[in-house]
Amino acid sequence: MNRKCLFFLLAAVLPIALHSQAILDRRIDEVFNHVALEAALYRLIDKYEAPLVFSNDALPSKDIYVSFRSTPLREVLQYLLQDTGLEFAWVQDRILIRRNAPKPAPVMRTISGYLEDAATGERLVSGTVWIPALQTGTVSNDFGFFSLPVPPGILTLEAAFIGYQHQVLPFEVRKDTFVQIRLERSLVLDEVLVTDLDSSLFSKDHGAIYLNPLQNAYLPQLGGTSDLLRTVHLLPGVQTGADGVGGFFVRGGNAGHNLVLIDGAPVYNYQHAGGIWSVFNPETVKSAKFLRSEFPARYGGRLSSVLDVRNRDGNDQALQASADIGLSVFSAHAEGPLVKGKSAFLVAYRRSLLNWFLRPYSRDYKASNGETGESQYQFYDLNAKLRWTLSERDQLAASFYSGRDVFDNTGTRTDTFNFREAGRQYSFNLFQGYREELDWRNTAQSLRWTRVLHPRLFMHTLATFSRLRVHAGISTRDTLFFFQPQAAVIANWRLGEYLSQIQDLGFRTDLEWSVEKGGTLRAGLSVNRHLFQPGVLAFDDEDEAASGTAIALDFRDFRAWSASAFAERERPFGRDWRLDYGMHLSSWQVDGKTFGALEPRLALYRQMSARSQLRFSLTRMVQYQHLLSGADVGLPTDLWAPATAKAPPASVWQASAGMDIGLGPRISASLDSYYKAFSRLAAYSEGVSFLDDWERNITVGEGAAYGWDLLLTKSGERLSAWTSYSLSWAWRQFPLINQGEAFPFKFDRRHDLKLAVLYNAGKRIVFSGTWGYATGLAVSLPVDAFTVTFNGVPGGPVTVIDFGPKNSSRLPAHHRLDLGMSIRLDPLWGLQQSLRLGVYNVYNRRNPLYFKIKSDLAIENGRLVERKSLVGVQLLPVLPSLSYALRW
Amino acid sequence: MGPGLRIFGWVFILLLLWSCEQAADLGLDTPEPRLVVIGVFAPEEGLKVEVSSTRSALADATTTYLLNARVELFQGNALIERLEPADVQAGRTPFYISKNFRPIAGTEYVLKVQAPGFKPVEAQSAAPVLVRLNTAEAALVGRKPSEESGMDDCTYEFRIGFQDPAQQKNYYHAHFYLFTQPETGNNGNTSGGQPEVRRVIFGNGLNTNYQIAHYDGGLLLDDQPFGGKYHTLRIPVTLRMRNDQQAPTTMVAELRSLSPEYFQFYSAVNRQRGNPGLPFAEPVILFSNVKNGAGVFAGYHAHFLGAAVQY
Repeated sequence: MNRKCLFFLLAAVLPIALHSQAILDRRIDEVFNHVALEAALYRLIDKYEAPLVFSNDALPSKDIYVSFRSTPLREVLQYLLQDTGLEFAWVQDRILIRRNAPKPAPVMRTISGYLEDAATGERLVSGTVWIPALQTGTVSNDFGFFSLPVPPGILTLEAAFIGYQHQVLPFEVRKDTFVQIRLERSLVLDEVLVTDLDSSLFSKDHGAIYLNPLQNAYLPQLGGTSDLLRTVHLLPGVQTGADGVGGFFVRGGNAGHNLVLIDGAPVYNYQHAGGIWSVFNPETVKSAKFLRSEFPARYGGRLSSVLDVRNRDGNDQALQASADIGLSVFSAHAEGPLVKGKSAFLVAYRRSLLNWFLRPYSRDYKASNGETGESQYQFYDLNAKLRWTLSERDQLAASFYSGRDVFDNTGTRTDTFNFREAGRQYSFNLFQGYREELDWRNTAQSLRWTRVLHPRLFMHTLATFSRLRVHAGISTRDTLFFFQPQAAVIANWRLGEYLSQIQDLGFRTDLEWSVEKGGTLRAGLSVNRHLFQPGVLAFDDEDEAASGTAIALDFRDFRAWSASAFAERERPFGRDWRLDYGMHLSSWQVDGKTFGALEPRLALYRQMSARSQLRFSLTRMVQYQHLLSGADVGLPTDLWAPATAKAPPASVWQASAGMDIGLGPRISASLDSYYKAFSRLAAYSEGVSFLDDWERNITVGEGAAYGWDLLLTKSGERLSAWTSYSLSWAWRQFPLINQGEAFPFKFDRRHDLKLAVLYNAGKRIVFSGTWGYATGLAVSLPVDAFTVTFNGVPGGPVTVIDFGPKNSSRLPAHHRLDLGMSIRLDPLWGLQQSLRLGVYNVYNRRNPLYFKIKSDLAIENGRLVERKSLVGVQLLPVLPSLSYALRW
Repeated sequence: MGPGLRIFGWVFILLLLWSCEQAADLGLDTPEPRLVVIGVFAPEEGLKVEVSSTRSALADATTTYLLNARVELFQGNALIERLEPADVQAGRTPFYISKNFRPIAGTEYVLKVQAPGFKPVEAQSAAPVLVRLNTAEAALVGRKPSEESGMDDCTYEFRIGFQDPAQQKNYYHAHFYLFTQPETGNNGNTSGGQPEVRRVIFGNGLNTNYQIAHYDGGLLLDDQPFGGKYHTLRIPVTLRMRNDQQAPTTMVAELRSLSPEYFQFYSAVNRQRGNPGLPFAEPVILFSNVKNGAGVFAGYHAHFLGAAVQY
């Protein structure tokens, strides 16, 4: 076409276009109140001379209730015709209203990129990206990446993340677009104190619960240090022993049924001090995701829960450091850029300070009980991270965690006894000595490479190394020196040396494909090599010692390979539905035997409104590692053992249904019900300890758990509060426990209620409080005792204790109130400083950790008698806490 | 550290140490004492039954044996015999004994016991069909001088073989006794004493799911690992013998075929006794087939076989 032709064409068309534009821009001021569509259109013709042409028969019956004030005719027509199947078009000086013409689907483009913290370059997990005009959006993944298919055109994109300023970005999308959206923090007036509580301790996304590390820091603290795991304990369906001892138990599962990850690497012992603190340094935690029912197919290997913790990657913009000292823990951290905007490092160190007080006081305490000796305990952990941004689409990150706990307890005691019996004088000295050592080390390392292969395709490749080493040493010696009626020495001793180790080396790669609006396809592979080294190095007991021999046992090592593959699809359908379905295929090879399992995952969601949702799920999980506990409470000596032919892989089917409801602008409720059927659970047979050969002393059984979980949350600028309540039942049945009869699981707690409150009293002070009440643990307490002699076999009678059926008794109900206060102090030499005060167990509730029968020898009426009493062993009474933090 | 912080620290630790142990007040009801019945029987042997009462688990270990109980043995509803208290020496455990009763293998018997102040109890059991020992052997596999002058440590493997009956669950109690004859003099006469009898006792370290050391000797066995097959039980034993030992020694093996009640009760009792006593150890739950009471009434059937011990 030559230029003249083009000019004439434009000259002819342009006036028409301008004319139609003017009519469609005509301003309308009108109120339609219960007016039929046809009548509304005639009013536009009559009153505003709109040149409308339409067929009355084509108009649906629709009543209009709307007011327009200076609204362009175009928008009025768009509103009136929405959801009618009609459209309007300018045809020969007329506005023709006709049925929608089928339109070719627009070629979709993709907006993808990363959501990042503007100040530090940290990528933000589970942030929201939303396009209001299209009523579509997505959530950033575990690495801050998002991908959103959109039609071409001018769009406004909104990005949001808890604790950050909402950001609105206009875009003209002509082709696939890659963006890095940097959000400014909004809730932090300074780096030490959050003063706006307009965010929740938890946020939920289709069954996943995201814990908010910022809010977590304000909850009451034990010994002056906050702990992520204590926030996990506040969730419904999660239980723990007194003061957190023994780990956490989710919906009737064991402590070993929780997959705990630091930057993708599994952590086999996530506790310090037996569970009073966790391995998560609050200074380094970026995000924490908790799953308990709707498990995506990418997760596997545990039966009951996933706690996926991601540490921060380090500040690539500026150097930053902090130090925090409390009564029990000292911590320090530093981070900063190696190459500004490109690479960063982060180092954080924690160390317990308990020995400052524990050693001198244990010496005095033992002295007051007639003993000499002392107790020591300390832990440390070190987190380090390096990350490199190789290109706009590639990032490499190395994460390192190492932690160690050391406990040492020694004592000696000498008693002198004189008494007469049957006319004879008896005199003897009793010497008792003991030494107990226990230390365990955790290592979790990972090397991660993330790459955006395509605007809709994200790759995540991970190499991991994890190790847990446990060492225990026991020595006891009892010696009786008789003086009368004749000199003699009787000595008994017990010596033990125990070492166990579990070690994993793993590799996995995952792909994530954004298929459609809100829909994702993920697939991946992983392979792991496992080494298990359980063993008693040497053990003497009194029988063998008497004859001078010792048992030297060296239980065999196990080497195992595991491999898994998964595919999962998040697929929206209809207006409000989403179906997540997937399959996790897993295999395990040990001792030349291979186990395999199909683990289907299914979750269905119905969005009822913006804040209301229904959920249904059915999942199967398989676990190839058993955590065997030889104790009434979880101890570091609990043994990780591989699935073998004698202890096949454990599995669970879980069905759950639940709903989220918005009860008010900032109040929401969540109610879930569940049923879990466990198969092939492994446990030590009755009467077995960790010193016995686990392979020959385990029993394999079943379990069931069911109940209801309720969570109520309120968030606000001044007051945030959360309440959770669980009504639950949990059972176990093993052939070689409780004579094969079913019995209540120890954590079969019928009622479990927890409250948490944060109150912002001003710009400087935040008050906090938590209170929990739970039905007492199911335990076996002595009912009575009797004597057994043996017919036909000579021997002395023995006393046996009848505990009744297993776990038929209940400990007293567990409840505790903790309070805390955070105060922002004036800057010191330009450094931000804060003080945190707290009281743990405010009303000094004596929640027992466990019960035992204690025996003491005493002289009564000139006779040596044994006095027994049932004593509850409690751990932590009312404890004040204080910590001081500096940040620069 | 400032004085304020130090004071907090002292208070912290003071409270920590104060927290350790406290006498329990669980509000538990004190249970009424129950009758305890311990009675085992075997064909060709009478029945002895001890009757006592339960006591508080926290009480002193004095046992109250009841001699005013009514102890009756039934087969179905038919009374077989009423047991009478036996004459026992002072200091020995009192018991009731049958005078005429000779149990028949495979027959179910019911024991009923009543005593003033207690709920009546009853239990039932049968002696299983006899499983015979096919072989018994005491093979010397090693010998070395011991640290004790004139003595050797001799390592033996005691072996017994038997056919485990198929298609039924079986339990056993294997015992080993050593009978050593008195030394003979130069004239060939014995010194005239009784043979010395020793029992082989096993430590709890040998316990597995299907093998439990009996505290008074022998091993309790569950046939799960060898069910329905011929089984040879091999027991390594170290004996300290004089290096000029002349007196003949005989190993006598006893294989008791057990009723389930016998196995379950004594395995639980022995597991509880062998519980290492670690502070957090899970308790062992007892078995009882005595309704309204505690203890056991159980049958067994024993077979003996001896073999000479090599020097």
